[in-house]
Amino acid sequence: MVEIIREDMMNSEQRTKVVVLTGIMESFNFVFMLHCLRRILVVTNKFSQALQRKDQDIENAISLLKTSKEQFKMMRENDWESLLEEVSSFLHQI
Amino acid sequence: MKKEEERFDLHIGKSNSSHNAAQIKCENLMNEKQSIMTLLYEQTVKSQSDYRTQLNVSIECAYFLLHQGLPFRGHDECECSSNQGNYLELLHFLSRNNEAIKRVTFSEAPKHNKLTSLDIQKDITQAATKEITNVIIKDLGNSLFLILIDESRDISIKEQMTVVLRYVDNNGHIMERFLGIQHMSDTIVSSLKAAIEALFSKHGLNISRLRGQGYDGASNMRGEFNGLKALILNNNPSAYYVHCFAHRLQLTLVAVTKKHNEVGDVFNFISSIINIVGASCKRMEVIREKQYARIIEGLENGEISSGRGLNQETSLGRYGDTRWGSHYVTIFRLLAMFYQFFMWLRL
Repeated sequence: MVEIIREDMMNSEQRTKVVVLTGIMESFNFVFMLHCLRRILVVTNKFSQALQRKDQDIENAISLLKTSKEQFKMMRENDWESLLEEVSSFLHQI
Repeated sequence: MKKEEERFDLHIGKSNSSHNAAQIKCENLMNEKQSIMTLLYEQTVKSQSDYRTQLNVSIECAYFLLHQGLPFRGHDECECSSNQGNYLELLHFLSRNNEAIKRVTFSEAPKHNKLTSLDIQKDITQAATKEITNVIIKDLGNSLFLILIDESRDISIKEQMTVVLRYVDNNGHIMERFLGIQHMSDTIVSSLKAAIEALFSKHGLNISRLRGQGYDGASNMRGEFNGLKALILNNNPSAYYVHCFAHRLQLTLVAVTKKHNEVGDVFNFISSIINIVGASCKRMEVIREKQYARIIEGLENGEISSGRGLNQETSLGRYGDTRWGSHYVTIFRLLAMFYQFFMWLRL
């Protein structure tokens, strides 16, 4: 069924794109970046959610900002190995 | 004596004599229940109570639609139409189910006073607006407040200024209340200032009680010398300006995703993947089936826990520069469905 859809729905341009994208999704770099970005965005997202609370005040917001920055610093210094592990276990799953 | 009685009988005469006619007329006149004034009065009382029911029903309908944020009007509102739009259909519904309402609406209502026209709907809506803003202003009372302003354009491409008040109410809770929108023909600073002053005087707010301003980073708003911020600061030096923190965070994120080469590449690839896979419903169906099978398998093996809100069917989640946190959602979902995407593309 999948083949049928593939044959039917794609023109040559899309087929080329699929080939390129498959290669990219296979690459370690892409998966690594995804996981790295996810870790960063988890922090910023929590920060953003907290900022959008109605009862937030500016002092609290600044201390939140400091905490987030410290979290980034910690990640930069200590978390590389756990990140690598996470990526490789993810790749093993696939 | 006898002559006088005879005279009297003669005066009364037969049943249709002028004396008897005058007597009947007099009795009719004296009968209060039948007098024109009473009848008129009774008629007025009845029509007043009918009008009141009718008006209440119209207000109820408008209240319901406003509360749910539904449109009032339909495509075709003539009486032969099978769907006359939300407002009229709601009225129909109420009159079908309530005899007292049925008695005073639509065909039973006076022809010149049906209370269903557009003007009436608008009047009721505007009355609701006034009531709500009055409550807000009353709640605000004499306390200090700050304003949040942004421009938004509506579906008919009209520029509008949106104003939100933020204040602490009597119970010590922080309140953010949407005050209203104001149509703007342009967004130069002077007209913005004039619009705000008009709004303040309309609602009886005093600019000297303003303690803060929150806008986005556009130059006409935050400009150091001629921005709206500066003009208001001239009037009231304690109205400090704060640029929305969440907005700044998002701006930083967007800048990183665009300017940092590798991160930018990753996001471009992600959007290509989403475009290719999400372009057709058939393709999404394949992905969904796979995801479904995988969740079932996981549940059977005990790898995935079930629960409310878990394992929901998710869409792909495109990211947008003005959607706070959308980049995170995109990456999160892509990682969750990475395997399915990959297998699908590799086939």
